[in-house]
Amino acid sequence: MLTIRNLQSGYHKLRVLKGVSVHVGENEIVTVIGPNGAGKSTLLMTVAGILKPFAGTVTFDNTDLESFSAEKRVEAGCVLVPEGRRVFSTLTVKENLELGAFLRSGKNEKSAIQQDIERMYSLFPVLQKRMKQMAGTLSGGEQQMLAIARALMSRPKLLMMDEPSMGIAPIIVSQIFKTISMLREEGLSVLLVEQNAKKALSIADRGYVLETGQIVVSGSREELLENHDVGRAYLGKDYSTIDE
Amino acid sequence: MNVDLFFNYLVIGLTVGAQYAIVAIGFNIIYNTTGIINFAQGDFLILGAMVAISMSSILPIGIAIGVGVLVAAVYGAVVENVFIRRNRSFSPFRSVCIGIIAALLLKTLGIFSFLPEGIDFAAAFLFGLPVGFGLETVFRKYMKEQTVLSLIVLTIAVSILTREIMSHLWDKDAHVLPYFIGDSNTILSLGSISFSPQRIWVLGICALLVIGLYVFFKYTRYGKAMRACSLDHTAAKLCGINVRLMITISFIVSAAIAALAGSVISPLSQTKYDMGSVLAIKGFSVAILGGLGNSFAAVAGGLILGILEAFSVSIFPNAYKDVVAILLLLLILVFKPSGVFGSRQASQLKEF
Ligand SMILES: Nc1ncnc2c1ncn2[C@@H]1O[C@H](COP(=O)(O)OP(=O)(O)OP(=O)(O)O)[C@@H](O)[C@H]1O
Ligand SMILES: [Mg+2]
Repeated sequence: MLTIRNLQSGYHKLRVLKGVSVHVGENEIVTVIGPNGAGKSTLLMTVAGILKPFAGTVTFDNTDLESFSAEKRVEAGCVLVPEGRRVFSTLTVKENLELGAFLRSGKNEKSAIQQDIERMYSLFPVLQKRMKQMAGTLSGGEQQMLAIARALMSRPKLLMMDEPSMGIAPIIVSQIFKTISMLREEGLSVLLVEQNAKKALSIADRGYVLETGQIVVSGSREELLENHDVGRAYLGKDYSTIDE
Repeated sequence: MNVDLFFNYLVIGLTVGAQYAIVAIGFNIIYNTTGIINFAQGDFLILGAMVAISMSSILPIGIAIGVGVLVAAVYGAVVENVFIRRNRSFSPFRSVCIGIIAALLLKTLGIFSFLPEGIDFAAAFLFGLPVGFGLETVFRKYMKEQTVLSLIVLTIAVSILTREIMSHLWDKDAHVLPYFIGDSNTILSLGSISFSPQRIWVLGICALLVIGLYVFFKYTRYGKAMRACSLDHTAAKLCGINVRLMITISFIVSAAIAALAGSVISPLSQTKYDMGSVLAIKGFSVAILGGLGNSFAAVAGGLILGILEAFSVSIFPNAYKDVVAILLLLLILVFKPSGVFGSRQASQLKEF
């Protein structure tokens, strides 16, 4: 589905990613974990077409994305839920969802979009209650659900999520992750970036550890959970963690 | 002041204010998608009206205005493409635009004036177009992301350029579009107040524009996308919205509504190549008065300024009319920079 090879990327002259290779297979949930400033967001922003890579390739569905603008990547089915949610704060919840489906403009799409909005309401019932409210007035957890729902409205094949658990109560995070697992059952592929390694590995099939712009460990969920370094650095095995 | 006079001033104030409101809304539309204050806004209005006036001698007035609106809209798109957009890949469209501007400058400077009329124009284009492609090839590599401030300064340059081009394509005289109904002596009486029916046209069309824009931004796919762009370009791109296109559309819409407003008011207030800059200042004052980006406040602000100006004439000499706007602008900037109707929060969120 998605193959990232030797990706180098960053800002102006600052090279953040120093050759990162990540693969997400069909119908897989893959996580990239790593500490602050490792370059996780940089990685996703580059794949989404917001940042231009310095070197390396991104292949999606056997197509090289190099010449694809951010919009074309969405059209191709590769969509990002950005860090910090970034919902359109003064637009209503419903308008946010409609904008997620911006590229679906065909004649018979109208009713399909309406159906998808209903589906989002069933996935995240709280959004229905808030549908006429401005998105900026939602709680952090609700905004995260809205951001995910907005991304899903484009009917993606691959959903990329940048720290969906950030600043959200653990119980809500569990709920969101359960929904994601469910969507995977229906054929969605997921690339999940997290600092909360324990949570991320609870739903991921495989994972990568990104540190200062390089992949330092990778493996299946079990391998990562058993890996000594990963356990100490990210799962808090040597000392008890605060959250969950 | 007696009651009749009061209402007469009020009607005059409202019509003039409606024009300011439309200019201010144009400011807001572009500001919302780009963060830029487009000081060429007033020149868009004059350009549209000038084209309509020229066309009105050969076409029915409605169609003439349509042509004016179209030309202004295309010009808005050209300005955005040539001056605002930073795009480092080679753009034939931008080359041609720069070429045409170069040609007009050559013609303006009278380089080919030794050639017969008509041929000098062709010669200017013959030289101008390669210059456009040349400049595009050489300079596009050096284009950088510009700060909002430098782009604002650029719009002032565009404003001057537009004015100069208009002064040569036409002349430096004042022109008028014919009245839509009757002539300058036709008067509509409502009880003891009487005014030109043209004022009804101005208010009606401006009201329709405001309603039309409301519907556009509130209910249409592109309108919603433009609002999304005004909040967060990156998030908009991640929704698959072509932000560049939305910015171009914002220039097109701003120019088109300005041209329409400029045409309907032309019979009353005349149209002259250099009136755009005063309009820009007033429109800007109104936009600030309402709180930048807030188009409904712009309507209120425009009407308020129009009425203030109209009444100022009864107290101060006519020449001081324009001072009202500047004074108002100063007062707002000192006491309530976020605008009378603007929320402080919103103005803090903006970049500057
Ligand atoms: N817009 C930017 N301009 C310049 N440097 C940036 C920018 N954004 C991030 N960086 C730098 O790039 C590096 C990687 O940042 P990035 O946001 O990708 O990290 P991250 O892994 O997502 O961290 P976090 O877990 O805190 O979100 C950091 O050192 C950061 O300072
Ligand atoms: Mg990050």
